[in-house]
Amino acid sequence: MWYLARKTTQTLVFLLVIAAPAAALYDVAQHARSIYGESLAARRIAEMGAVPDLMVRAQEYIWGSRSRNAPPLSESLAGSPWALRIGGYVMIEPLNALGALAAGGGAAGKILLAVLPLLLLTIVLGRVFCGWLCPVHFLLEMTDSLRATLVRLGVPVRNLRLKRGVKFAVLGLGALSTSVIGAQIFPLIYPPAVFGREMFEFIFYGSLGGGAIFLLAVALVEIFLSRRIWCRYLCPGGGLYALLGSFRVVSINRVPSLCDSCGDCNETCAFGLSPMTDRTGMECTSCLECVRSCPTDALAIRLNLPGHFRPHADAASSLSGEEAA
Amino acid sequence: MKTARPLKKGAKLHRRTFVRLIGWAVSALAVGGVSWLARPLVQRPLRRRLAEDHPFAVYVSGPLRPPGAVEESLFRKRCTGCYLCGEVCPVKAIRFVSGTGLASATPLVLPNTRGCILCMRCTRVCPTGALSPLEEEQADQVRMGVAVLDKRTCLPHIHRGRCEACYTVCPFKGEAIIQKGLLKPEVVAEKCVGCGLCEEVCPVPTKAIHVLPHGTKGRPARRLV
Repeated sequence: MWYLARKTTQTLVFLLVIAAPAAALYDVAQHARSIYGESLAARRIAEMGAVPDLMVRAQEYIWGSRSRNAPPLSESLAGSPWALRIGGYVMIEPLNALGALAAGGGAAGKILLAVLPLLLLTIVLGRVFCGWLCPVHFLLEMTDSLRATLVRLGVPVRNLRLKRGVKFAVLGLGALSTSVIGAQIFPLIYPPAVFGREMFEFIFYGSLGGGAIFLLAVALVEIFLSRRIWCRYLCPGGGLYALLGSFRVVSINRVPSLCDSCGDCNETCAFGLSPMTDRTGMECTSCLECVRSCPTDALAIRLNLPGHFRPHADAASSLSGEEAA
Repeated sequence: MKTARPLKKGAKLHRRTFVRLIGWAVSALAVGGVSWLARPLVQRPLRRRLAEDHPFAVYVSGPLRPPGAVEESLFRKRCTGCYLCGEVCPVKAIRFVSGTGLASATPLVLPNTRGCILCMRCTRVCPTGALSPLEEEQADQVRMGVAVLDKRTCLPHIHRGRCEACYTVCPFKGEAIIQKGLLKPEVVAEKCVGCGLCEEVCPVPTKAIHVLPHGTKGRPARRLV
């Protein structure tokens, strides 16, 4: 059931990233109608380009009876996970907040207020953003079947392993560089942020920017070098989520008496972790693939309050859990 | 794989830990140094990009930021490229610096294609304070830039017809743009908020009125005429 919930959440977030710019386009069309009248508005909408025009037409079909004086759709929902507007509240990612604070521009109160929900979520549940909310992770999961097909066809795909600490280096040195240069670097190298922007550019303006090439490169590396190689070893956001979730209360634990050490869960884990030996720790995104693959139902989501049995605590303190596996 | 134990009180400093610490220090210094050297690059590629997007941008010292934007160098620190301002703009006046440079994904207004209608929706969604929140009634306090009239091409000024496009569209007509004899417009720089509507509607193909952003700190925008 939790697995289904995860897939639903991922799909909803992905649809949101597409729907938000489309709704914004509809707002533009409505605004043009209310200000300029039908004929000039129609010209303005037509000159937007093919993709935006299509989006507006589709929404006119959906929202056909909507009042012209109704508040704009983007008042209530706009953005992507990098910065998401729900109602009057803007929620940002911890990496977004870290970059803004590292650059030393001030406005700390505003930033901390905006980052609070995802910060608390990560502290309690661990690195769940990656597995449940990240639209790029959602897309990369889809490449798994493509990778499997390539393997079946005999194309040599590798299973590269790097040091997990690399992403902490990317995170730390990126923050350092941000504060020295005085301009934001993370939004340019963090895939969810790039993805949100590129979707917006594509739908709202009908064009694609340099970020699309970056995302394509991430996907190719993913397919040919290793599953989730970006997320595991390079992603600064993933690193930050892992650090924030070091003392997570909820995690995936194993009942040793039920486990028959078949190793299916280790095989399934896209992050190269080892649920079979309880070496998941702060890297685990709670994607539940291992729970799903377990033939004896030995794995489940469990609370990890102080005083409880915490088998993964040792693994959390060591970054090189996978090499030992 | 065996890993070096973290440093604890009274513990011996392992050789491997020491080497690792040195490695971190060296890489931090290297990245910091390279970033320090790369600081001029933050502005320069942006200006080149602007020159491609905007035929008159060679004259300006920076992009025309949306209303409520803080001073340019502070803006570059605060803006995290979330695109919310562009998403809520009802007239698509907010565009973004393209490409992969350090300045990419920051918002700007290109008044030769679309001016800002001063609805202030963008200022209220900014999560990191790059745009300070304003109400619609505070439109007269906005200072995005200043309109500069090119009297060599403005139609009434060269006696090539009756035109009051910029005067009609100006949200502060009579204050920011005034009409002298024969419908000749004049810009009052102190009252101009730099919304760019006049440049958008100007019928002269190369635009007879340009909105120049206020200069970055210590570097005033060069005047066109």
